[in-house]
Amino acid sequence: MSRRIGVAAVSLVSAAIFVALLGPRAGLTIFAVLALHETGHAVAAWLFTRRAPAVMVMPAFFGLTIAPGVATRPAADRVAYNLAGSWGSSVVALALLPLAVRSDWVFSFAWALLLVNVVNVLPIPGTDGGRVSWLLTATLPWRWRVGVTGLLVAVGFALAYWLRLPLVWIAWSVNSVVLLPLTWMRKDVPSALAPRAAVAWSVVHVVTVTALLHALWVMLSMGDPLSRLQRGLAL
Amino acid sequence: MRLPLIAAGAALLVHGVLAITQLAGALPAERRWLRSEAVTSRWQRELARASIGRIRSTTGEWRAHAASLGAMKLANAQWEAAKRKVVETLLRLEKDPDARKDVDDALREMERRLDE
Repeated sequence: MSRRIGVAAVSLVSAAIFVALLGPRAGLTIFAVLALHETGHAVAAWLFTRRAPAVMVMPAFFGLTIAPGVATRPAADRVAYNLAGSWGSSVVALALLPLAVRSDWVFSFAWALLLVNVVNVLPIPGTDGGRVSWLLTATLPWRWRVGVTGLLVAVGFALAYWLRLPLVWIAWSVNSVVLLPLTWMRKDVPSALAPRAAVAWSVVHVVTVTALLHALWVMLSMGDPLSRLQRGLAL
Repeated sequence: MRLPLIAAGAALLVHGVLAITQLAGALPAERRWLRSEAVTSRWQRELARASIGRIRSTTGEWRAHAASLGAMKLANAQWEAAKRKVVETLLRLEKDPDARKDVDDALREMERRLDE
């Protein structure tokens, strides 16, 4: 009981800090985006373990799900648990898309949901996507890991060149070349996924990213996205 | 194996539904966002429009607005010229409150250029 009070208190303090820093509309929108993402993890945790998880939004603009029992689940369940945060948010964002055409606030909320979740699901250490890629590759032989890193670097460079955004290029290089192999050096290697399951989950990871990007493209097409964000969040 | 198949199927369904809705015209599909050379100019236009909105909705901090607009580099020469005019009138407005009309005119001109 006292833990729940603590979790609720931290989240309330976070909401107050967000409102103080960004104003009521933007602050509460970001709070809702983070809480919704963590709720997706919490639902998955409950389905896998039948034990009550706790969702907490932290003052440093990120969320936490305290889910007892998930760490000892098979690797496939942990992959699904890590992707569930983005799945839940994506469902809400997609349901809001028709309304986003008319309302600036709904547009901003759906945009923030998609942006936060697409970044979160990319293979970057510390994010859900980083944990998923680690779970999917940690038991691969070293040669394969180098191959996967090479592939990620190539995809990142192609994307950065296509978008003509040098910063994306630099960030992706640092992430792929330095940080991703560092993540693999972690000692707590999970139980191996069967090869077919690993391939299937990799496909799920990729299509989760591409579906979120597709929805973001739809939103970018809605005209004056920055002005609408500014009005929607009262910035 | 059932869960990854369901998840992948759901994500592909999202792609399909979005694509069909875009093709039907119910959701927008701005192809320029998919072309490399247009992304930068489109983004610049959005940033410039957002700055115009910010300047219109405030009644002070002209020097800060002029500095942030001045730091913005626009690839289109006409946009850049219109932007410089706005910066110049904003700096004038700081000393002379009557220059507000010039700022409004310059903002309208810049907006017109961005819309062309």
